[in-house]
Amino acid sequence: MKSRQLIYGALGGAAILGAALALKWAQHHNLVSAEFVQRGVLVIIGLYLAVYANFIPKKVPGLKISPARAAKVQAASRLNGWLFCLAGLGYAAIWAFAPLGVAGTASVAVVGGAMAVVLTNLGICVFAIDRKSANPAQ
Amino acid sequence: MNSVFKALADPTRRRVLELLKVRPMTAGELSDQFPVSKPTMSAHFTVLREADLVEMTRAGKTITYHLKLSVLEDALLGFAAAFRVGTQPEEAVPPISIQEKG
Repeated sequence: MKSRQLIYGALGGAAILGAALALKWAQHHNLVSAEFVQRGVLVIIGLYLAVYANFIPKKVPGLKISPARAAKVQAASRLNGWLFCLAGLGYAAIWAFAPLGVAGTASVAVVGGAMAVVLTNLGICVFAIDRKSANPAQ
Repeated sequence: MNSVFKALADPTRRRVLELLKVRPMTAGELSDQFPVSKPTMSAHFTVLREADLVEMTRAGKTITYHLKLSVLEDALLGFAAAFRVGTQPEEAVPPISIQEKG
């Protein structure tokens, strides 16, 4: 299972590099502009984030954790998947359509905002689990 | 992907997935929520497992089902529920019959 994930990750990375090289080659032969190359590479990165995030909720917590903890992990995993998937699509859409002056700030804000929400949610989740394990009567 | 659409086309299986969104549940807990026999529920679980939408873990005699939906499958589940795919209309409206005066 781990090796399959590694293979998919490596294939995804190779696809991004291949696309970037192809765009650069096209620019070198005056087929596309420098702006098109910049936008194209960043759109591909956004789409890769969306595809990767799509599979985050597919990971099931193992047998060894309690049902309450499994429910919390599942909820956090679903939220993370949705947020990063939408952030990836938003990042790609911004780099595809927004003016270059705005796109840099807006795309970082979208992904950074998603990351902030995810980290906050994970913190709340870990805090709730720790409190419950410290006071099992609650 | 065809197996996913097949699994999501049935309202009982969609309800199972909605229940599993709250927390992982045992086969017995899930079966108690539906007015159907255990073999029928077992068949539904098999379809969901074959579509890779749920994961089964066994601890002794207890079988626990975990949700295993990707974001895309979750969105498809939402669409299928919103458009009530595979459900009958709640109240069948009788056809309008116009009697001709003779």
